[in-house]
Amino acid sequence: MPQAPMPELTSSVKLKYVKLGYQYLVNHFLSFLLIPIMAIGAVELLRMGPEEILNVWNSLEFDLVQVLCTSFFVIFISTVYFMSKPRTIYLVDYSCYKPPVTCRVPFATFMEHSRLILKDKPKSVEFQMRILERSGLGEETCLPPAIHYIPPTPTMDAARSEAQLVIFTAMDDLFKKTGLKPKDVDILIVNCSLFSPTPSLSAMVINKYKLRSNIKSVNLSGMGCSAGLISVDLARDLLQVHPNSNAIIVSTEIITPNYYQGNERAMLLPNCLFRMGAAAILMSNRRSDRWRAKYKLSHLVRTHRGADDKSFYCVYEQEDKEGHVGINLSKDLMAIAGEALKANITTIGPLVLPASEQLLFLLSLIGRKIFNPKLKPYIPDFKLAFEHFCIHAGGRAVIDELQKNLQLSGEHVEASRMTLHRFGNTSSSSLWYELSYIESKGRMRRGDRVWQIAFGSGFKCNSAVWKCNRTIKTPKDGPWSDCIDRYPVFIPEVVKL
Amino acid sequence: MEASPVTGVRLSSVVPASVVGENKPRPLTPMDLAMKLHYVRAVYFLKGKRDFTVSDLKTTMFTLLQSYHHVSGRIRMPENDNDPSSGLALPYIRCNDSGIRIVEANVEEFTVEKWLDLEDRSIDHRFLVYDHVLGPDLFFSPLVFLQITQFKCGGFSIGLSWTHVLGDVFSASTFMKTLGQLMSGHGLPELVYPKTPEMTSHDHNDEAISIKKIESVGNCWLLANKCKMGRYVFNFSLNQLDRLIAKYTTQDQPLSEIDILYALIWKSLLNIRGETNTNVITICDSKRSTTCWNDDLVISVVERKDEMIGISELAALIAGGKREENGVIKQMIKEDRGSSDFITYGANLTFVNLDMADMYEFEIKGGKPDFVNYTIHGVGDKGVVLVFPKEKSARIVSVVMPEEDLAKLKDEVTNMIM
Repeated sequence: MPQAPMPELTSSVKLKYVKLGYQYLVNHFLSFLLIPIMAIGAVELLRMGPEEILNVWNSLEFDLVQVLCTSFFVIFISTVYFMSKPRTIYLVDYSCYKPPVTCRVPFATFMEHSRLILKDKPKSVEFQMRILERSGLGEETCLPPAIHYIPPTPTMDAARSEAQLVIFTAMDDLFKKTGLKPKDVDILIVNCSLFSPTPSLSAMVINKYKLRSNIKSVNLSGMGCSAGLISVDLARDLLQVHPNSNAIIVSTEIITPNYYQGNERAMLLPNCLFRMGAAAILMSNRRSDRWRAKYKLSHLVRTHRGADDKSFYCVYEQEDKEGHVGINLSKDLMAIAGEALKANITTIGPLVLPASEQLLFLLSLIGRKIFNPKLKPYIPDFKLAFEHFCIHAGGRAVIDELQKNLQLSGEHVEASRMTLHRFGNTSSSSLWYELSYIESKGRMRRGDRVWQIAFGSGFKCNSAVWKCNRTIKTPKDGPWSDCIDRYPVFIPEVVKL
Repeated sequence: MEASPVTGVRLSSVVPASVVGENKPRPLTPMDLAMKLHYVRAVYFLKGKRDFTVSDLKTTMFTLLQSYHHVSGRIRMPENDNDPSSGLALPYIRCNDSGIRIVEANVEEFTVEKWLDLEDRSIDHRFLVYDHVLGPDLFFSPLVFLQITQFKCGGFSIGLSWTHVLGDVFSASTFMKTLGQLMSGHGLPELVYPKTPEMTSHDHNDEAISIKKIESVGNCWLLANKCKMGRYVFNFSLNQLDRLIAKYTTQDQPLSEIDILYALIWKSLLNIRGETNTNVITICDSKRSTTCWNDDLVISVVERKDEMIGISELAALIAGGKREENGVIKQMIKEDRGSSDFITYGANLTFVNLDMADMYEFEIKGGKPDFVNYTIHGVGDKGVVLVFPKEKSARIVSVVMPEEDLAKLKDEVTNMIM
């Protein structure tokens, strides 16, 4: 019997070597071409001998004017090239908000409160319990103080207090970490989807920190969980236009005013998943930040599927029959997310995938179109393009779906799953908690590439690709500092009370 | 006072600050089950403005609950158990960090002083403690309710409703004392869990008379009384106490103050109820130890012979004639295997000595409470008498009794003190 597995093992090893060989060949094709050419040239030169080389050189008859023109031309082309190259955008540092213990909501407490609030609708209670058991959330996620009451007391004051608490704490931490002075902030972008008071949250930040009067501030609202990457895109565009500047991005979601108080089943899901969180990010295009910046922004691709009706209506805020406002999630959410991801991958693939994968994809595409439409489409191996993945912790189903579609291993999605467990779905800031997890585990090395994928209502799929600028030491503070040793934890399929 | 003066009631939960319970089961011992239908209720009054707020209290409780895993848990009955591997046949507490319920309320018409000046002390327990009972949804019923009521003057009262399965009056007062210590900035003490209690080896074939077996109450752990129960607080001044001791103690028969007070009330009730109903009394004491669980309770009975009718005789009987029934109680409950329920307080006329309870040691940043009122809720029809620790000016005896007996009791006791 030991004979049978041996051939399988040897054949799989052989396949691996074939794959590796193919990848090296295609990815370094040009170098492979260049080597024989250089070899032939060198052999020719050696064959000719120094006198013949001098004769060839003299026969070319270069004179001063020709040399000068050629060199000016070369200098001109290189100047145009360097000037039109987009500025490098750096992510200097970022800080994630860690809620106080008084906001902690253990599993059992959340179920108990839901039961008491929905006591007249046992079916809705059962439904909510089913979701919570399978949600992948842990025992330490946090909700703002107003939601701890039975029933919750979501006043506007309470919402503003939550906003002040999370945003100011994250920003204080960011200023301390980076040594930035408030008056040196040039661009401020705040994104919070569901709470948009007047004056805006960005105005609130400017008021608190006494920022400059000529600051470029933008407040993005209503753009869902992918708004974090939209803010990064906006910051990048602004930093291309304004030389020598920095930008602060604040990503958060304010839970207080958005706790659904009705009992429509499709609208109860967000209550179970959304939790308190915020992140503050400092980006810069200054050359002086080159040494201390953590990451460089390589690519940012935004895909919007709003033109398709089904995608547009799949995450829809509306009133239920009793007049309670909530967010209705359609049953096709996963399918739509999959399509949006495909559209995004199609754009980002050519930018990041190595040539070997692109060739294979092209060949499989040709094969499907011309020869046999039934051939399975080739899914490029994104693990060759990235070392780390940060998938928006929208829910367990999202992470499972993406893991399946991109054929990722458990370790690749670990950051997303553990962030969902420890912090819940913190909406636009969850990508930053995931990045912080990877850093806290000491896995981030210089040159590593990170892919952040965010989904949001609309339906949008946005991707950002970062390249690690310097090996990052395990941070001593941060949201994971007191619990990173307990992770990764095993998350059971169904949690029983 | 008929209508409730309490307004602005808001309920919320407080949980342990970190993951402590880990869903572990804490089995209920037979002594816990003997106390299943009783609730310890206490009200602490703090007059005037203090330098801490209600939210400081709530925040401190998160830290406090890190030490009290079982207080934050929930009851599980074995038949609807989701975890058959726990192997327990009796109800148990699952320590799942659910936490305790906090009630925030206001009383706008009174200052603390005016409230305490009112005659009827039963208002403390009617309005300043949440009427908490376990069930009908046992799975999600908190074991402790804490009501923080703010008064007009800025002072407030803390009303605790503590399920007796967690522990007796001493355990409740230790919980409050630890809260005070944490508020004052001291560290968190380590709560000692009891070792498995030793099984008394001798066979008991007799029935315990200190507890009464009743039909199973199902999922709502509250006793249904046959008559309406009332509460009254007797104040014995130091002079009155001295006179009583002088009157009933003799040279060769030294009696303690507690025994005389017990005998006084017993005699009054003998007069009211007649002799056949009041031949047995139950006495509850606490073994002083580092833990404060129901297993540290000492439950004894005293049986009266027909000839004994004088207070001195009764007091002497109490001092010398107690018979401890802990072993018999445990045996009886174990053999029952959860098919019926038991009550202890009120099965017979029950006396509880609260000297151990150190209720006045509760202190927040140097400030002691102005008044503390403990009682038991869910008492049987024979009633309960609680004797509070002696203060500088008086000793308080709080009784929970059927209302018709209560009116007569007041007269009897007044006569006896004269």
